[in-house]
Amino acid sequence: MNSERLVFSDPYVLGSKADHFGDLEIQFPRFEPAALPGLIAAVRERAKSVFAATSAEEIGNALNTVDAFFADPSHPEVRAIVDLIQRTDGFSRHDIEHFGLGVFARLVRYDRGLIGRFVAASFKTRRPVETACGFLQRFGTDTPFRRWREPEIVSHFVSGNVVGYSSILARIGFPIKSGRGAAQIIKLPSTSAVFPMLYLDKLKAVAPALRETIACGYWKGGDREIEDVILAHSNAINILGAESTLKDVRARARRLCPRAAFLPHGHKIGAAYIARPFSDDPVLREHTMAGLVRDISAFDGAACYNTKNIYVQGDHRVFAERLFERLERFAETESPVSPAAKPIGQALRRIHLGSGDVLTSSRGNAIVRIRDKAEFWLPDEAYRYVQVMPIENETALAALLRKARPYLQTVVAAVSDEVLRAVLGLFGSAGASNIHYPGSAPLLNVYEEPHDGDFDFLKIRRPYRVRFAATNFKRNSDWLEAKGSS
Amino acid sequence: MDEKKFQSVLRAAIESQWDRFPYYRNLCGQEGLGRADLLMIIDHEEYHRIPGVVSPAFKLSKGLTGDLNDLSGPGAFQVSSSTSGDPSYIYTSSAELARIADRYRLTFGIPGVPKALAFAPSLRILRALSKKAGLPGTGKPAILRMQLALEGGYRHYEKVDVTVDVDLLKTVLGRAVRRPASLRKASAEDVASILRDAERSGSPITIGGVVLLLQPYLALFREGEFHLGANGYIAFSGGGYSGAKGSIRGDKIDKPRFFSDVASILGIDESDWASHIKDIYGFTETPALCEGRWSPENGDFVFHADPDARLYIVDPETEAPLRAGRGLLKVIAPSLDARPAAANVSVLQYDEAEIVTSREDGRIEAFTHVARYQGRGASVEGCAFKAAEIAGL
Repeated sequence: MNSERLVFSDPYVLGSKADHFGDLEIQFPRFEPAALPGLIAAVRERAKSVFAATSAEEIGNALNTVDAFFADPSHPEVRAIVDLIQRTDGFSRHDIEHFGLGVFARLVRYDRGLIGRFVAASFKTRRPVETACGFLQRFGTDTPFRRWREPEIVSHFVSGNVVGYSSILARIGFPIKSGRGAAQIIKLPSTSAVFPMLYLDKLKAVAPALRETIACGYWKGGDREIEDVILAHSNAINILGAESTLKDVRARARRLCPRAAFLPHGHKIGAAYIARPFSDDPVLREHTMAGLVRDISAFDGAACYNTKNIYVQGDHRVFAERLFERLERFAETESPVSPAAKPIGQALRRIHLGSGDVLTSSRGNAIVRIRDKAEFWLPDEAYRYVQVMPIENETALAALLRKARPYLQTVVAAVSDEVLRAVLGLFGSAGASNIHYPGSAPLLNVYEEPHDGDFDFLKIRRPYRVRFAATNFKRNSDWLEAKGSS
Repeated sequence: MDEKKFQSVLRAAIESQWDRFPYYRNLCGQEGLGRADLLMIIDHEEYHRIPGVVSPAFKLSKGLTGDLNDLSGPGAFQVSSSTSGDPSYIYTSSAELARIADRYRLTFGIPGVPKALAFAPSLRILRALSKKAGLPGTGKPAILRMQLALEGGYRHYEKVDVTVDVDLLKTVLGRAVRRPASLRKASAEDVASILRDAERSGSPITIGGVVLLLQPYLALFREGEFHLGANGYIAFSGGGYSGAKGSIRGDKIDKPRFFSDVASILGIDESDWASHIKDIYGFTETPALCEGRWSPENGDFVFHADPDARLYIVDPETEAPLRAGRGLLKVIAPSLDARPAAANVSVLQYDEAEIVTSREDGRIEAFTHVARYQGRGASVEGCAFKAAEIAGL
């Protein structure tokens, strides 16, 4: 039997674990408890010397080179990477290219001189600030008694994520204009661990010294022998995971590193608001649905930004039926359901065979629930699985969303240009942080949009008390024209 | 139950289920079956063709509790132990609850054995947990399946000792500072003392409950520690061999080794294993309970179909009954009062098992190697929220 072997390594994490994907064996670095104290000291010292010797511009250029590499899907090496991720994580090529690597194109195009400018402006006003791509608004009042402090060690606890997002984590520890860089310790998730390692490998090829400011490897989530040592040395903790994981790590962090900045990123549920005329004008509705199917289907609905609750102004039943048809077609023609997720669809289909108001087909590519009364639905599975409901207007929706605050992040909004800023204010104050146009739910621009209400790169240095929300468009022509031309 | 009686009870139960549950009518409609078709299927004894509701549909997170349960009569919600963090809710009439507890009496009880040592939480704990499991807004009580099982045991045995109970003094004191209830686990000495009493008096005793609660004690005793001989019986229930049962966690259990260790510690002769070691297979979504005896040649229990139910092992995709090999368990178990309070007359359980013996028509007489169905266990670990997280908190 032919078998292949791929080895990922880390300059500090010397243990290893092997995962098997059919005939392919992949070795990932694995943290060993005994080596931790030395490892932490080594990465901290190395980061200090690297950041002392490297200018912010040099770092920015290196990151741009790495981002540009991943933003080019025609590059043979990137094509091989997409194949590898598909083989190991099971996601469709379409999703990896468009939604995983899709985040990089925006970062490369972004004028780096603008980084931080809009956030600073937003601290000075409660009104929406016009950014390069949309609007940014602050909510709450900051305290003047927070001092700037430079973290020496930022740790990232990642348990499950989708391609792309996990790799941009490391960005928060790199220096920003007015701050130094920090050593970073990254926990690889137990699934989807290939892409973060590929990203770091590319960083090593472009800027080897920068790569040496990061220690990255796997440990079993909840392993106190490892986690408690890392927590005790951390000045900032960035955690992505289920609410129970967040709760557990937060409790230990309070004891072990009470002064550390804590950045919790729990699992989220996306929503969409389809207002008139986008819900009833045939042309606009088609454009909206074409985007919405992408927002629902990306990574088979396993991501925090995927749309799940859809609120329609107008005939929600007709909208749901058309949406279901489009979801089915999209899975058949553009982005097939991954083999890993197929059984979930089939199981859901079986469960809902007797449900009157659930649209599904024998293929189980998508499940659409219809409810005649608006609610915030908590999905029981991560899949191409949505609930469509009627809503009176954006004010009524904001009142509903406010009750689901802990679960909010991305809200896809198809609203007229005149109300876009008002919608940002309403949904942002309800707890949403990213108001995106249809078809762009996965495409977060970390340079001018918050992640779960925060700009983590700033919060680890200045633990402010406010939160932010942003749109990724200024007017509908931004996306409708792009759609028309494509 | 003989075939004629079973047919008549099933007929009435299916008619009632059809009339009162639109969900079930839709389900049958998807397969092109009407009421008359179902009755004809029953007349022809082709019970495997009766569409079954898949067991995960009863889970709270699926949002179908209102569609699958009819709360109009007196009864209570049976609640599963929620190993997945997402319990099933099955509304059950009072008469049916009594029947299930009685079935546990018969399956847990060993004739002529007056005493039991249950590695289980006390009824006091289970009643408190049942109370806590009530579904807000329904006004209906809830009862954990484990409570029904223990109540069944109490009905048979003159004396039952449990290994986990509330420490009353600590709990009362803790209340003052809003601490949760304190639990007291029996020490190895407590367990040894009960077993030695039985040994000394020559009185037969059954050791049972949840395997995961017995597991930690095994390391504290040595082989031949007790000499119960033919007076020692073992009767467990509720699974947990995977290392998880509700909120109870332990190591994954290697069954042959585990029961060999238990039997040698208790001093039960190997020739008695098949007659003295049993397990009960049941699941909250159906009233059927299958009694299993240890089978050295299978290295596992061989379960016999509940006489009041019809069992099939079916292909996971097509649901066609299999004659050999492994497949999903499909259980047809009507409630005797002919008015099922939940749409659970026919259930496709997401557990797979291997056929030991079956009849010509596909009905299963005996099965073994029951395990959670992995075919649907696929999960894409992303950052999206799943409702089971709430239950798991």
